[in-house]
Amino acid sequence: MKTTFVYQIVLLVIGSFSLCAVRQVTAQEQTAKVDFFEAKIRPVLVKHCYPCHSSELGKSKGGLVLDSRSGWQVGGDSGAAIVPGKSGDSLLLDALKYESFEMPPKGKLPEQTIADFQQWIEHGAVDPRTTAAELPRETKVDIEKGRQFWSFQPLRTFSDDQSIDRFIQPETSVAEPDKLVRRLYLDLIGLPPSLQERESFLSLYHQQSPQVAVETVADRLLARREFGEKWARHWLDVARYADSNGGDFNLTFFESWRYRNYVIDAFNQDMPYDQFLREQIAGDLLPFDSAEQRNRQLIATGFLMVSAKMLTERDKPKMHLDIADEQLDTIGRAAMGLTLGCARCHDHKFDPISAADYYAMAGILHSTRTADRVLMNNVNVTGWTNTDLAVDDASKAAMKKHRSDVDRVIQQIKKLEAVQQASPQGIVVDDTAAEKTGPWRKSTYRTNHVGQHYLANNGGDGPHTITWKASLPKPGKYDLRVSFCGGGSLAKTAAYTIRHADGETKLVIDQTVTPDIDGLWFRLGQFRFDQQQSTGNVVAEVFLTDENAGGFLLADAVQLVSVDELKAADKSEGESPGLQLKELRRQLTKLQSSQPKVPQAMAAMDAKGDRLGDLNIRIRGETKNLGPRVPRGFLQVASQPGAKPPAIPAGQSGRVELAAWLTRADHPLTARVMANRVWQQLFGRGIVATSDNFGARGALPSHPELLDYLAQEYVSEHWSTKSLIRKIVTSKTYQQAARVAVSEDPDNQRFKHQNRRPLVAESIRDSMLVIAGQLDAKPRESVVAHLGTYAIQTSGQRHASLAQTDELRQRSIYLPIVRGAVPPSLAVFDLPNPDLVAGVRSVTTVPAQALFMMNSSFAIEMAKSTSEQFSDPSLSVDQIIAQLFLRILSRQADQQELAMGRAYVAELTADGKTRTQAVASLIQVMFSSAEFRLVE
Amino acid sequence: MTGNLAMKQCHRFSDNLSRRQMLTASGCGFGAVAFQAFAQQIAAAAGNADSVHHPAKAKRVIFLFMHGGVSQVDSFDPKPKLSEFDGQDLPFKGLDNLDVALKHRAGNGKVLDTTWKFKQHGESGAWISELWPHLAKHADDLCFIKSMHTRGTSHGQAVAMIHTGNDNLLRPSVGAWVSYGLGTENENLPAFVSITPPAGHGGTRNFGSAFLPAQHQATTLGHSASKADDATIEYLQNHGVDKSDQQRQLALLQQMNQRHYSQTKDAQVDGVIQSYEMAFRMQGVAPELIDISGESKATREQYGVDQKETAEFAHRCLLARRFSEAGVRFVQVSTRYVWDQHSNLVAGHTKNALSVDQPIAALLADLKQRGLMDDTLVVWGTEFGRTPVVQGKNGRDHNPAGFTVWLSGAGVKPGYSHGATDDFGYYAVENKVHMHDLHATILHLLGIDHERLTYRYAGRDFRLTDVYGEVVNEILS
Repeated sequence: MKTTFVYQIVLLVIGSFSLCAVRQVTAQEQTAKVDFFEAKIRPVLVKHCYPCHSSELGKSKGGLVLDSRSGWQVGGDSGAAIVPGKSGDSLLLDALKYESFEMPPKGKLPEQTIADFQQWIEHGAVDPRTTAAELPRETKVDIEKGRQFWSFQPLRTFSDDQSIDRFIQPETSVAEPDKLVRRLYLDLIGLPPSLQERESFLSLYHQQSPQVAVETVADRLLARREFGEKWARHWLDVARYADSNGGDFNLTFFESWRYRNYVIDAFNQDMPYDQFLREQIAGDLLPFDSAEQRNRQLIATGFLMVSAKMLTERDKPKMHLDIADEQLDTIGRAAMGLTLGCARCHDHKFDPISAADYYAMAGILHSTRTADRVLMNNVNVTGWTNTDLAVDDASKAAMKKHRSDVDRVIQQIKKLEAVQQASPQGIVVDDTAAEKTGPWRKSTYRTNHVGQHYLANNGGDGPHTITWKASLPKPGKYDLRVSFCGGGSLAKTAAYTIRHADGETKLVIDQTVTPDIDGLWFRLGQFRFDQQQSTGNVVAEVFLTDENAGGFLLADAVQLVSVDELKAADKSEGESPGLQLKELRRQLTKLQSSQPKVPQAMAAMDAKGDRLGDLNIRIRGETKNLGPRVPRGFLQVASQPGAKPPAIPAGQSGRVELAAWLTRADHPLTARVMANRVWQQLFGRGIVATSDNFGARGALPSHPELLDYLAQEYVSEHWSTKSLIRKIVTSKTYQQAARVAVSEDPDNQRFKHQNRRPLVAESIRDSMLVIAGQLDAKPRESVVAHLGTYAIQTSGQRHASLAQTDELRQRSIYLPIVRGAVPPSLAVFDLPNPDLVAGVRSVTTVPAQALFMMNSSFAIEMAKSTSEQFSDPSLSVDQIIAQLFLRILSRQADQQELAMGRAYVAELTADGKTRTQAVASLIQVMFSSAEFRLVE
Repeated sequence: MTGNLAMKQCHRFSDNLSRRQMLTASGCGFGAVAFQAFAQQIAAAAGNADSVHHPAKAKRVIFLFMHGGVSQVDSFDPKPKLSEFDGQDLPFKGLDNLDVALKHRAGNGKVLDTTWKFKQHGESGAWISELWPHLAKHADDLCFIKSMHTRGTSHGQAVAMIHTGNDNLLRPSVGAWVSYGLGTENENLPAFVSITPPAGHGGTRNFGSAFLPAQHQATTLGHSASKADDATIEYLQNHGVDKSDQQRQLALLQQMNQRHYSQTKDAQVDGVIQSYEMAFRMQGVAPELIDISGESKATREQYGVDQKETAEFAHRCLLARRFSEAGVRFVQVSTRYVWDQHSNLVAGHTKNALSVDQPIAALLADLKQRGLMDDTLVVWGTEFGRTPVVQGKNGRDHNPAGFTVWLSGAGVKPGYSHGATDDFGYYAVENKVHMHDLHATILHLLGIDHERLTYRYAGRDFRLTDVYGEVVNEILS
């Protein structure tokens, strides 16, 4: 046993060390040392350490116990706690000194006590306590043993004549046609059949056979675009897809919809699943033959990007580790059904995954750039990487032309600026020479200013004022300018007062605009200044106050240029360069705002420099607590025994190799996990019930051979998801009627009948939309796509276009999944939290759903629109009700139901409601019914 | 089946749910009536709920959240050294990752003295600054923890910590854990209500259920920036139909559902039937609770409902009392995100304290007068404190290393102060209490052992306090 082996070595080493020490001391000295321990050390240990580190109490925080000698000899997660004779190497002492850990956490011990410990350790750490601590510490994960677990075993192989029905031996007869057609449509495209579609299925069912009907219709449905819109959503659950960051700073992911559409298209095009995974993990690094392919592959890496991040985490190294952790955990659960994240702090407690394995793989993701750049002008807010996508020739030409237009204007501006530079600079008075009242803050936040800094004020206990006084060389007319560099949040109404020869002029200036001259000087106008009678000096006075400034008020410098000199300088130019510049700058702003947008993808890329490379193990997952460095690599237990792992080329992250390793045909988990996900969608329960956990803590497969058969078929049919779905729905097992589980098999683990399943949130909403004739098939972008980098308040001043998701009419998959503000119509029916991988949605039946159906404007609106389709007065109430049952529940109404409906409509119309209103009320009842909300 | 077994299902369902367990589960949190077949055992569970792991001192919690970071050295933790060192360098190093200006400048930052005078109040002699005159009258009811520390130097992390015990990953909120652990006291109402919850810094994740079943997330009234007057529960009412029409509609619906049930005998159908019954009952109860117009003039005056400065928070506190009184286990009330005084400390803290001081004092008095204080725990907290060193001219930066919270009511020592910060109020040094410890203590008071309230998700048993947390026994009465 390796565990004991390592343990013994440790004991041996320490043992011989202390033997040496003991040999040199006399018995008397030894007694003295024991006394010292009993007097000074043991009481402290008992009082301050045992509560968290005692095998007797069953507390071993950090894996450390201190109620026995062997406890500190073996040590905790960080290694031996005490090295006898070497206090400098003893972690325990570091911790007491608050130099590494801070122990005890409730407050540092007195200096004298720490000195006692130091002395004790220096003198050999004599400890008479002999009770051997029974430590259940696994120091090494046993890979060989781990491989014996079912999910790490190679896939079984099967003869050609195997089939699903042979494994299951279905016992329940095929479902009635009404039920079967509704099930097929909702399972494959997430919408109920239209009346014609229903009819068509029924006639095939009766005239040919149920099997022919299912095969024919399945093929039709698999070819429809709605198929991808239904099935992509399952993957998006697993990929914790969202249109915003959530986390601490909820910024819009305004490009993530491209990833969502990529997933939809991949399902519709039946992209082989191995390719689908490779592109999502390493698309940016894969070779490509066309710009289109490159775009697609870049977009695919959105899978790594759309996680919720703590973008304002000030400890950035920790943030990068957290992000890599989340990505690894997501890949683990999504593709392999393994909770890799558990091995971040220690070897996995249940599965054969060592912390070293974890950091080998985390190193790959840590070498990837996802979080990046500074956002919102705030050094504490990190953004993410966006990559330009290739565009078609026409757009390319348009962009080229635009670029050359911009360049041309910039050149002209530069030329004129050079002229202006040469033009008279006049007199400049900076804020340092001005008179101030009140506290003004010196600032260099905005880079364009005169001198060392400028002054800023945001109102408060004012008024605060500033007065510039400029001594002019001679009387006359001057061009007066003030400097501020412009920008949002600045004063909208900055009040300047100019004292000049003709009196006082008050001007209210908007500091948010960028001034024309060098983007710095704003022209207040031309004023005449005279000699002052008392002094004979020519003085210009400019006064600025923060009263009602309406934003941050900037005060920098004033500039006065003699108009005569300006004219002299301008003679050669004709028109003043200032005016021309103003016009050119206007042109430039206009051009820049009309820039053809280069489409971008939220795409991963490899990191550079320090970030690229292997990681050190982080003991207990703590960022700064470094263990040994581990070379990047892959999960050992899921690798072929004896095979050489793919080498990671220098200068690369290793994602290409990770993706290749994950999608090799003999990977024990990848095909099993996905085949199980597909099965789960079609039965409401996987062969492995815990779809995201194929580890020891997950459920065991109810039919291990069937799972392997499906996985084998999946791989051999080139990972075709459509083929797999077709294989399942055309089986007799799938087509069985639904019924309540029998008591011998309460969970229907044997699949001896179909399950009555709750409709997913999207299907409830989409069905209502399509029945009401309100479904809008067009919009495929996201409503956040046009917002740019926008911080969403999940409630409160939410952007208008996000607030009214109840009024959007596109299919649910296209609704904005804003973290913290998921559309209520979906959230209420258990749309999973988009922060987490959710292969299995939780199922609740709660009053909030009832309130939504009874009171939401969406439900009321859908019922009304549906009713309006039946406003033709020539239709009888009975006809309307019959049609409604066909349309909403895909079946005929029986006599009693017709009577109930008739009576209800009659009652309401007698009460003064119109027939359309009464029918709408009835429709809302039908939408609310348990039958509509379940599929069987 | 015994009540104990039912309990287990309530407390230990995994992500490996059988259909049957799932159906049971949907009844546990939200009115123990969702499924008739299991109603009995769940009722037994609810009966046991008051003593899950040990006898509970508190039946319910009101959590008053001051969003932004209240300054401890200006409120409850006076430090004479601040006056002595005012304007001088702090004689030791502060936290990393704070004020950018400090990072680039030599020194540890300049100490800023407090503007407010401190006095001792009550028999207990609790130190309270003049920012809190009304609260000071309740000094002998308060139990201060002056040695709080937490994780996260920025709001996002620290706000997530105080609400969920994790500064990074999505985890269930404290209230969701309580709902999951204890269920509801009133079958017409949810167990966890958050009045005007914070919109930013994680938003819904702060009152969400994460991987716990959805019914444990907070039912919310408005959000922190909304007016309490407008705050209501989503979809609570359909203003387009009158009550009798809706009753008729419900009758037809349940008739159809009953027929479906008799044909299928499927418990899911029955679940739907029960959920409509419950929704209809909630529709009857909740609007009355939200409507405070029936409160007496004296009560309105006591809370300050009709004073401009206090009106908003007074209304929120009044709602908290009403929901708490009606049996909601965990009620959170939040201020707007206003306490973050990096600058304008004097004006900001003055205004903020003015707006909450009287309402909070009134809430304490009101609960006491109604006899609710005996089994209600009030927790006043903030995501972190503020530094004793100045930021800008008149501001303080975030300080997760040392700050103050207080508790009052069921199970805690009244007129007591626990723990201490250093001489400058920067670091907690004596009897330090981590946020995890506070969470463990809150659960303890509710009769829950924080190490045993677990939920299996993704193959591992999760708990509110992760692998941390110790009950602060010293403050227990």
